[in-house]
Formats: sequence, structure tokens, C-alpha cells
Amino acid sequence: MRLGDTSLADLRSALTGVGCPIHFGPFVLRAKTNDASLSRTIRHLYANHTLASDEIADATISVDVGWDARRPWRRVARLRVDRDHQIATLPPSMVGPLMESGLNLAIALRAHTFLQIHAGCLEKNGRAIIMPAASGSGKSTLCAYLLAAGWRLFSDEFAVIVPETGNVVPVPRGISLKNASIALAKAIHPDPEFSPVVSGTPKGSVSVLRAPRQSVDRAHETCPPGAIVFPKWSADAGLQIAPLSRAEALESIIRNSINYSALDELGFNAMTRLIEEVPAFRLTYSDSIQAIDWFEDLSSRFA
Amino acid sequence: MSAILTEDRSTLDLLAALRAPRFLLELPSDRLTDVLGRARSSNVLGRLAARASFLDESTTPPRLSRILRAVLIQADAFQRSARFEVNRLRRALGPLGDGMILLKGAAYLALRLPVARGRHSGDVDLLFPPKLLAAVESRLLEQGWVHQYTDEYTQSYYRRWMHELPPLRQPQRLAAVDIHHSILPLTSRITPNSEALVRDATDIPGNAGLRALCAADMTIHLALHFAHDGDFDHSLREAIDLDDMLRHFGSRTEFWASLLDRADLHGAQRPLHYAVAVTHALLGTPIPDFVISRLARHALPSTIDRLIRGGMVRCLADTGRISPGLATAVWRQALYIRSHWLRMPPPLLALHLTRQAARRIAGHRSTP
Repeated sequence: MRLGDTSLADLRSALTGVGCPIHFGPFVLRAKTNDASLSRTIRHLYANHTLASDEIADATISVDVGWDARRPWRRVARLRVDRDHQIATLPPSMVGPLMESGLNLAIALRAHTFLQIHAGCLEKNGRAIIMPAASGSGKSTLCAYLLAAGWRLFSDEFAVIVPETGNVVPVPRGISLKNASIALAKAIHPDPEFSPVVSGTPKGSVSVLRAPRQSVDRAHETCPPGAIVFPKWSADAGLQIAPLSRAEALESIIRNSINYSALDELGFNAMTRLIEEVPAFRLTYSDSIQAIDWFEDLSSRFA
Repeated sequence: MSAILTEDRSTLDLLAALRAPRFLLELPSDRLTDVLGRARSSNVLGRLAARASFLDESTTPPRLSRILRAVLIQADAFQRSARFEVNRLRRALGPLGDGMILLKGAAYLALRLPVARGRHSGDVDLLFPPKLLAAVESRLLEQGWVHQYTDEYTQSYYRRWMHELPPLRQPQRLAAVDIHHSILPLTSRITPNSEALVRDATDIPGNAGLRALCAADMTIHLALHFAHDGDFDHSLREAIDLDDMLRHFGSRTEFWASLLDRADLHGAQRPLHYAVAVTHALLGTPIPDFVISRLARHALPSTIDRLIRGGMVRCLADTGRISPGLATAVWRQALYIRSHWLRMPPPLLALHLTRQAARRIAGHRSTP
């Protein structure tokens, strides 16, 4: 059953009680919150996602709004992942971003049967492009553009790889956009697909573009990687494509990996296999449309 | 289990699972999620996973198997880190480190004991005779280790009153190194026989120049900290350690007699009494009757003894529990105070607690 098909009342009841377990690719994450606005945001953002029934959850993520213990005149939103004590607090207006970061943490800190790379990941023609990227590279904007061009969203945060086979696994959630990229994405996606903009967060203004139904429905379809692209937006750069040597690619992708060191030899073998099997590029661009054209050209060679 | 005095379902499920891990396979999904979360909050999920021998069986739900395997992968990463740290320390210390004694996790790992599996700590504890301490410290600082706490009070607290130097760390790595010269703080009412600890340490097979405490001393070390440490919110992990250790060593008949002898030697009978009683109550550790009765001779008067044991069991059972309730909160506080009482004579304790309070008000982050 999809979240969007439940009533808000039922959802609220679950969120304030036993928790609401949601399928995200291979993971089941159980959300809890006492906040009414966050309940509505969850129902909207994950409307296309399916509720898990009779499944073990990988984690329980709670965002509760209550009185600040140290400053009792203020209300705060508290994030907990399974634990008794809180991981983070933010003003109550930021419950949405807080829940998103909790969902990220729950996966990143625990999913060690997978090799995780901090990267955007989308699929076309049966192959996934892995875009490792630091903040400010424009990765999320590119994800939004690629989505509009018909690519299937695996994740805007994590490239999740099965070490034994090298296949990439979808973990569809929304695309997290911030500041200028929100307007850019709103120019090419309908407004109802976005969560309300929250301003004043540590990252500035944020909004989430929700994953389309098709990406969620096909979340069980894994595929091999097709290319690794390190994007960097730079005004006046034009379009510059620099192929990377295997050594450069390996070093760069390890640096962007979340749990490489936890995986020891299995991780090393998986990472080197990845570098050996697919080409790696540094993409420097000033025009997103031009960049997307280049991605389309790249993907046409996959089929 | 009636000794546990709790109706909290996750507590009972977790203890049942620790005693008989296949119990996890009988639980419905939501309860299983709760138990796994609770085990994680108590820092014992890795230990639980290590006991779950059914992981690779075809009838095990794939999701459960994946979750537990992921935890073990993480534990392996910590253990690699600890092994590497020991290697680096050995290299850095040179002849100074010949015959150095590994304590706690690093020792369990090197000895490949069952208690080593699923541990989530990469920290390394070493024991040296007091006269070598200054040389060891200056050598490590020369070789790039730095002090984790640089404020004067913490530094002087460790050096004057504790049984270890303030922790050291190599800046590029995560592991902390604790250099001990005894196994209990200097000011404790119990003074273990440090010479005997060092003299009777045994070589670690396959690791030239490394030693560990003998089996009985290793067990007593664990029991001492278990019964003396104030942080009963985390001691469920140590109860599991004790359970593993007593089951493993206890299969040798001569172990129990040597355990009692060494307890006499170190004056550690009462902490050992608490440790075996509480572990038995929580996890069903088999303890021979003659051991129980011999140790009971050193217990406090029966009513008080039962009260303290009950308090310990309650706190341990409620480890990692959200809102444990008034009784546990009271016992946690009482045992915390007790631990400081055991660590220091009253005038010193008063002075230390006052300083602690003043520092907290002034906003310092303190450890001791």
C-alpha cells in the first residue's frame, strides 16, 4: 500500500505510535514524529513509496518537537535514530530537513553489506551513472535535470553498490535542493512535486523534489554501473570533459566513499572492479542543458 | 528472570535473545525491530550478532541476516583498527615495548577469545610497570601521539589519582591508547597486586613480545570494573563480556580455583561476588556452587547485599532504554555515587565532586 493512499489521520496515528515503516529500496526505515506539519510533509514527499507490513526495520528515525531541556522557554525539534539521546536539534520550522538528515544517517551509518559512495545516481539504457560530488558541485541540480530528461532516479545522495556483483542498487528518495537550484528545478518540474521551502537552515533554503512514481516502483531493479562522472559547476567554463586515469579515478572515488574503510578487502576489490569496468570523467560546466546533452550522448553508448 | 523486576518488553526480549539467540527468529517483525534498536542503543548489537550462529542459514529472514552481518562488518573494522594500533605501538616503543601487556579488548583480540567477537571498540589498553611509565609516555609523544585532553585539571586528575595516563591518540587515526600502571585507580579501597599482575602475565601465542594477563587476572580485571564503574548505563556490554569469559575459561576445571586464589591475592572478592551473581541473574552464566559460597563470605550483610545486587541487575537490564523509570534512575545515581566512593576516600571525593561541579558550571567538557 502506498503512503499516499493512507488517510492523514491513519498516518498520524502510526507516526505518533508504533511508527510508520517505509520501503526505500532494500531498506525499511520506520519514521516517528509528533509534529503535524512533518506528518503532512512525509505523506506528500513519500506518497509514491510503499508502506512495509510485517518487515523488520533497519532503523527507527524520530523527530519530536518539545521543550529544550537547557532553555525551557524554547521549543526544539529533536532527531533520534533508535537511541535514547538526541543526535541533533533544530528549530521546529526545520523538522523536514531534520527528518531527511536522519534518514540519510540511518542508511550511511549502517548499510555495511553495501559499498556506499556519496554520489548522485541515475539510470538510463540499463546502466547507472555515478556522480560523486562535494557540496556546491551542482550535483543535485544535475539530478533534477536528468530526471526531467527521463532518467530513473536511484538516489541523489548514495550510490549503493553490492560488493560481490558490482551492481548498483536504487534507494529512491527525493532530490534535496538548496538555494539557487530550487528555482532552476522549479522551472522544469511541476510545483506540486516539491516540499515547502524551508529557509534559514545550516545549508540555506532547502526543498525536496520528490521521487517520481516510476523510480519508486522500479526500486527493485538493480543494474551495472555505466560511468563515473565528477561534476563541477563553474561560470564561464563552457563544457569541459576530462577523462580520468584509473589511478586518479580510484583515488577520487575512494575519497568520496562513505564506508570504504569498513569493507576491507571486499571494498577494495569492489572499488577497483568499478574503476576497471567503467570510464571516469571530470565534467566542468556552466550550462546545465549542455551538460545534460553530454550525459544523453554518454548513455546512448550504453545500449 | 523474576530477579529482573521489569515488565518492559524490549528488556525481556533482549535478555532472552542474549541467552538464546534463536529467540530472535521467533519474534514478530515489530518486536524484532525494537530489540535490535535497543541492542544498538546499549552497544551490544555486535555482541548479539556474534552469538547469532544462524545468520547464514537459509531459514533466517534475509533482512535480519543483512542487518546483523552489517554490524559484524563494522565490528571487524574496529578490530582491524585495534590490531593495527597495537602493531604501531609495538613499532614505536621498540625495546621499551618488549613483553608489554595488552589489556581488555586488545588482549581478547590477540588471544582470539570468544569475547572478542562483535566488539565495537578500536581502543587499545596497555599495562606497564610504574617505573617505565615516564619513558613510555615520552617515547610515544616523540613518535607522534598526542594527548586527547590538554586541560590541566584532567591531566593532573589522571596522573595523581588514576591507574592510567590520560589517553593518547595518533592524530591521523581514531584509536585511543590508554597506558595503565595498575588495573584500578590508586586511591581505590582495593589495591590489586600490580607486581603479581605483571609477573604472572602470559605470552600471547603468535605475537612475539606481547603478553596478556593470565586468565584469572583478566577475569578479575573485568569484574572489578564491572562492579566499580559508575556508568551502569553501558555495563550490559561488560556483563556479556563476563558471561563469555566465564563460560570460555570455566570449561577448564582448574580455572575456578585459580580465580578464587587470585581474588584473594588482589583483595577483589567482593567485586567478583557481585560480578558473578549479577551475570548469572541476567544471562544465566553457570557458576559452580563452591565459587558462589566462597565469594559470598566477603559480601556485605545479606539484606544490603541483595539490595545492591538487585539495583545492579535493574540498571543493567534497563541499559539503553528510553525513559527507564524512577527506580532505575535512582539506582543509576546511587551506583554512580558508589563508584566514586569506591574510587576515592571521602575527603578527596568531596573535593573532586566540588571541582567537577564548578567545571561543569563554567562549561568545561570533563571526563573523570
